[in-house]
Amino acid sequence: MGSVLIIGKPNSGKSLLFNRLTGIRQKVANFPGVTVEVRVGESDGEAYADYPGVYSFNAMTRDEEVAIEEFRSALKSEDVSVVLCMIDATRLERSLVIGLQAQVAAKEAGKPIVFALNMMDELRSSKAEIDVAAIEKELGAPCAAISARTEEGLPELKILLKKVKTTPKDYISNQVTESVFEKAKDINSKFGPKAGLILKNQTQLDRFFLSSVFGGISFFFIMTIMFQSIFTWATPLMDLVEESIGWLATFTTGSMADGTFKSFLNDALFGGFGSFLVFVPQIFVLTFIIGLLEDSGYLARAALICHRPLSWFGLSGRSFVPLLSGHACSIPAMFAARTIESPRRRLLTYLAIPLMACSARLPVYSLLVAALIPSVSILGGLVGLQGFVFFLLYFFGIFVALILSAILSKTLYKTKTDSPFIIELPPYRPPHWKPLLLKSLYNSKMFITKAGGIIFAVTVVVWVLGYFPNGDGELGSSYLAQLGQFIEPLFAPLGLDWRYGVAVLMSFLAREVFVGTLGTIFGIENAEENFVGLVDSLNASGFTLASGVALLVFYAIALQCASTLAMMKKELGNWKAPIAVFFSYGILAYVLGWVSYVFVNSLN
Amino acid sequence: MKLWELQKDQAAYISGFIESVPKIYFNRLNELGFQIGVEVVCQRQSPFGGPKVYQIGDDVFSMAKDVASCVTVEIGE
Repeated sequence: MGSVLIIGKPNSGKSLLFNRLTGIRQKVANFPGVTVEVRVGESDGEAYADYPGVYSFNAMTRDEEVAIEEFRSALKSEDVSVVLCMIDATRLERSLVIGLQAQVAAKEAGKPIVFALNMMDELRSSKAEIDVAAIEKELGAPCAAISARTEEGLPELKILLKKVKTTPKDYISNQVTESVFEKAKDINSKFGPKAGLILKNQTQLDRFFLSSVFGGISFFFIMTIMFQSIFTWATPLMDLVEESIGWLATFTTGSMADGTFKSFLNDALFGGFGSFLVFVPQIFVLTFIIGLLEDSGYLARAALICHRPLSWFGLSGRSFVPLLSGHACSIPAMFAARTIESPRRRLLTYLAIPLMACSARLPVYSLLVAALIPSVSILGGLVGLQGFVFFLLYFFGIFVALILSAILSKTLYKTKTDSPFIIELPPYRPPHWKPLLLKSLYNSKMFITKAGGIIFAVTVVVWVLGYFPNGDGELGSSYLAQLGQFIEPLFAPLGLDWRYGVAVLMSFLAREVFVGTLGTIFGIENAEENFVGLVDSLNASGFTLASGVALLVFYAIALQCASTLAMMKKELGNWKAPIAVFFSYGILAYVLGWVSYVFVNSLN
Repeated sequence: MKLWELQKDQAAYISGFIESVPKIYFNRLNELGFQIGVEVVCQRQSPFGGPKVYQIGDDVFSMAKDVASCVTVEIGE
């Protein structure tokens, strides 16, 4: 079975065609440290490989370099029988640049090339036309006029590919040229669509979405819906996963005698690893919404709107969506950061995401704010003081992230020539639901398979430390408690004793564990729901305002999330950066926490 | 004048590139159609010096100041 390599420029409809041809039978190959994905699928005995969209074979970023290297290397394989180049017929000249370069590469490798002239339906609706036969003659390679959206011409394309694969030598191009720009321009001017017809709708919509007033309002509106949906749409699904895990835990361990194995199943497997699985629906919903924005053409406009303010801090316009998503959870936010074109700005975004006040920080903030801040109103009863402190905590995370990003972009990650901010504003198009659902499902699956192993290992280690040496589940006499007492001098400058030390240590697995652990230590059952009891216990234990503020500052900065570290490792391709971030943020959190403690104490 | 200086709805022809244009900028601009003699229209400006929107034929691109300042243009007749 020979493979068909699919290549083309971004927004040419390549991935949609791939999905139409292969359905759900797909595998995705990733490459460490870059966001390059090569998708492989099968249909009717044919194998297809979909390469990332590139504008030309002159790579501008490491991602593009890897994609082109992989394509060139695959071309040399005997398994590859034909190259299928996607051409956006509505943007013929731009598509032909990469098309003609691919033709040269295919000839050098002794492989035939077929051109699929896509989006014929859009051409017709714009009352524009192209001369397919003349283009085929000029290119000296077979061409098929198709619409991946309506599936028009797809059966003919499949027949053509089979024909070419049967006698490939008959279809190896003889008319290749190195002057790709001139030839692309020449073909477009002679046989392409008349300029101005295609852009009419796009210009009208851009007048609204990019206008100074309505552009800002619509941006705010769309982002609010997106942010809300991460919480509201994902919540029922997350509840369902949580309840299912709870049911499974009861079903499995309900009739078991108490002991080590039951504790392992309940606390490590269902409690620890299960709480990680609860985030999967959020990944699914966020990937789906970002896909909607990307397919519709709005994501490029959003990047344009945000680019200037974010560039002051070394970030990109495309950093906005990941940073916003980071307020729900860092893991889907890191998926979202894959759309950032510049590897440097993408890295800075990865570093900024863990500082956003994610939903796992909420239980910690809620407990500490309830314990420290009186429930009174300020500003003439308009604003609650506790709510205002919550706002300050969110703002503090954003503030630290932007300042750190600005410092890093001017020091450690300073570069003279970054990838330029040039983005194509694609036409507004209705989204393709099936490929979107497939992509969201794939990302959810990848989240489980890639980060799951690390999470499970960390969960087991924390469980072992918390359960042994007595093996009776008494946290107070466990290795973890001993460790807490050992490191008590470290927490003493913040006015905290070993009990808080243990809770902080436990919460390096996931921040929200802090509340449950304190509940266990103070003997409060269901501490996550029974805040009042725990708040009373905290106040009775001599917990001071200065220590509380120090803990809040610590939690706002420290990277206490094994899933985020695992995700960062996956995206960056090595452990060096996540470990460096873990320790740097930990030290920064500790130092700023101590400064806050000293400052608040000095006011008393 | 530089492409960045083009005002909203103003059209011009690309006359060249500044000498210090980084190679990766030059290559990408060429691939996207920013070639000498081509007509370009500034469709939109953003507040606070944000990226501008340029149209070349049936393609529309958004470009930040550092890139658009590498391209020189001449206003046609």
